[in-house]
Amino acid sequence: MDKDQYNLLTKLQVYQFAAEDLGMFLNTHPENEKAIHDFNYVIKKQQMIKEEYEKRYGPLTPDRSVEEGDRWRWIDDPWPWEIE
Amino acid sequence: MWIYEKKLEYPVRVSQPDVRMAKYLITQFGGPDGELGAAVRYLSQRYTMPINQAKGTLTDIGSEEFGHWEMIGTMVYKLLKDASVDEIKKAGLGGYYAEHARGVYPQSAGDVPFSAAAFAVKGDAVADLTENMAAEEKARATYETLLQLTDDACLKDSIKFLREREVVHFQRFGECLRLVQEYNNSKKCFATS
Ligand SMILES: [Fe+2]
Repeated sequence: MDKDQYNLLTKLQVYQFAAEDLGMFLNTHPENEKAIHDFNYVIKKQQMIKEEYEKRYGPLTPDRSVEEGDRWRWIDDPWPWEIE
Repeated sequence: MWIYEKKLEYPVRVSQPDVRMAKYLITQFGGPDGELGAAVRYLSQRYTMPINQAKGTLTDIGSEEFGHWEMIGTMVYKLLKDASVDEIKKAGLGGYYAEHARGVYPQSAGDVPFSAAAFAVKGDAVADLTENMAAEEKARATYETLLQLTDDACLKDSIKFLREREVVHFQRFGECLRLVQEYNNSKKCFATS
């Protein structure tokens, strides 16, 4: 995996984890305004990065539409356990 | 990684409580040929698959089996939810009730707690895929016997969906096996030429 892809993936992991952790906090604090504000910020960032990553390197989930004429890229490597 | 989606893959409805049926179904939740075993078996086998088609198929089917596991759990929950303790005792689930009440516990119909022995991983793509094809046929056969054990039309509808999925999984694994064998043969030809 080239350096650009690796860096973008790391960025996605950072924001996705932040969203996951804040969401978990909100389960037990569903009215916490600060956490909701932070959650909205990281989820927006996460969505933007994910969109860019998928456009450049292919789908992260097998529920993305495929451009007419393109092939099914879901199965392409590297799979997560193959990334060095 | 995995993200949970808050919906069942296919709706699960039951017409009335049925402890006896819950007792039979629980083996698909935590028995040796059940959905939990299938899910983790397929996801564990992915690492050493030699071709991307097989890695993708094991990922997708393994993930779907977790959806089936949730459907079975929902069936057991709904079948036990409004059953009286007396009905539970009469159906032979008194011992289960003592330990788990109406909780959904991964065990076989014969009261054996879930065992990691269900996760067959040989590290050989042909052996693993052949094993999986047999596992899918076993699951299909189990759903067929389960269909004979209930008259509940709603419950039957959900079980029929699961049975059909086993047929599709069997086909996809069969295709992966053929692709792996072609890949292995092409490698052999290359090595000897
Ligand atoms: Fe299956």
